[in-house]
Amino acid sequence: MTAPLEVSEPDLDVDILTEKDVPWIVLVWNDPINLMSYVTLVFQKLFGHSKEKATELMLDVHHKGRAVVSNGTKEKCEADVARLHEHGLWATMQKDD
Amino acid sequence: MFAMFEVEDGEINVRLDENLRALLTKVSEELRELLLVDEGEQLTRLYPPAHPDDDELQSEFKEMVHDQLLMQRLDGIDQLQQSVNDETISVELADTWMAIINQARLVLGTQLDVSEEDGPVAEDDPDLQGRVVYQVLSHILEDLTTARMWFL
Repeated sequence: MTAPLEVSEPDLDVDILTEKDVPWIVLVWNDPINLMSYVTLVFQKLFGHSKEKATELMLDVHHKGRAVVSNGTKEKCEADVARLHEHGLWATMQKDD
Repeated sequence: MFAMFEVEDGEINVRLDENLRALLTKVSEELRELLLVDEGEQLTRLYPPAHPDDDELQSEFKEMVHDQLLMQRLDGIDQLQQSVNDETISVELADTWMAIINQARLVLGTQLDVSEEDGPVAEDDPDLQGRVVYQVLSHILEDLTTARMWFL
């Protein structure tokens, strides 16, 4: 048997790789103003969900206080948050740690 | 109950009386004035932070979307006011009406500090007029949402 080669660790910038690889998520938060029917409609319109799926998400927001409605790159999530704000929904985004 | 909006031939018939149409003109104009002069507490729900825990990212996000969002809203108010007396509106216009009506509700609801536990409006409520307007706008939005769902 041959002895294992000694391989030095590559000098990678771990922070940069992690930053690029970690996906982001978009959260919609419950609020007392937006109508349940309106929120369902917005989810259907923006994300192409069926009425059943959109209603399920809306009820998650209503009962649990928040729900993850989309994910992806930072740029995609920023676009989704902007569209949700355009429709008056309370949306935030964060890394999916 | 009498429907304020009815779907027919790919469009939405508007059954609002002249008082409700005047109300939409009035609240949308008040919204425009607020959008142009105020960035304070009253507009909190129109511009919620995308990154509430990161000031730097939030600043970047605001710089990227705020002005565009403002222009869209002002343009939407123009469109609503130009079509407010129409007998029928397209789906696209319905989307614009809904966005503006909901923005007015968000501002008014913030001013009134509404909550999910709020009951019927009391006659001696010091904010009686505002609460009634809020409920009327909610009713219009609910009806328009129901009509709009036919097109999904």
